[in-house]
Amino acid sequence: MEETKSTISSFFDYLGFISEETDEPTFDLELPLNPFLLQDDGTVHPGVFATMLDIMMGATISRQTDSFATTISLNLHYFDLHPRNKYTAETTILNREGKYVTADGVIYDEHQNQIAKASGTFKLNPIKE
Amino acid sequence: MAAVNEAKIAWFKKNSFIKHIGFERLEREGKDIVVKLSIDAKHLNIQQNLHGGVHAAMLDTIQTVALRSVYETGVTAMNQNVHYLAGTNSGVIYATAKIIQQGYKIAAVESEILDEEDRLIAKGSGVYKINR
Repeated sequence: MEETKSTISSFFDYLGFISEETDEPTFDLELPLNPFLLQDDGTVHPGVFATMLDIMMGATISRQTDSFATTISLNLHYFDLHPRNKYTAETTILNREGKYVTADGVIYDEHQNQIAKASGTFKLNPIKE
Repeated sequence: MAAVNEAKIAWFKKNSFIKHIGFERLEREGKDIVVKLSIDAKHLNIQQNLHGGVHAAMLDTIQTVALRSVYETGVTAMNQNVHYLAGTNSGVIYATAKIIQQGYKIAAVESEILDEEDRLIAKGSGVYKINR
């Protein structure tokens, strides 16, 4: 597996994620249980899952289109905010219309329970060599 | 400046994620409660724009602040919508929220992020479970 830490974004690294690419369209995410990811009630802040989904959907679209993917909108559902040791994110591209891509993404825990789900619209900006 | 009930905002100060990202809670005279963020390099994505996860986290945070100030108990996010309207990568941004439906176990909130020139950066809404 190819480790992609530090190639995605500084904010992703700042939250402490370690991403490993697998066979498309999935990423395995290691999320060390750093106390700063948690809220006062011990659950994971929803912003962590929003970040995971935004990054994983954007990265998958980028890889498949050789473009940067700029997020236009996200619709997020949070099913379980209790912390886990490992997450897997899977993205499905639903539609591409010119510069615009619609995709959905799901985060699973190590037992394949759904933790969060999102759909989003992204604008493509070709990566210049 | 409105008097702040310290007990009501203790949770905000104890929330490690909020502290880690750098969100601050303000009360502006004559206006709603505000969450403020000074953008720096750690908040950016690979295109050097504010990462979408920061907008989502900030909108969730201000929505939670608005609900907890009314319900005085914990809330859990069930659903969140975010519209990204303008890019930004420096300066200070502010989030405000308005409760649009206040039920016994469920509430709906809308929110927005503005920059220092009152330019609309993002708009959001969410549905929350009231923990009681």
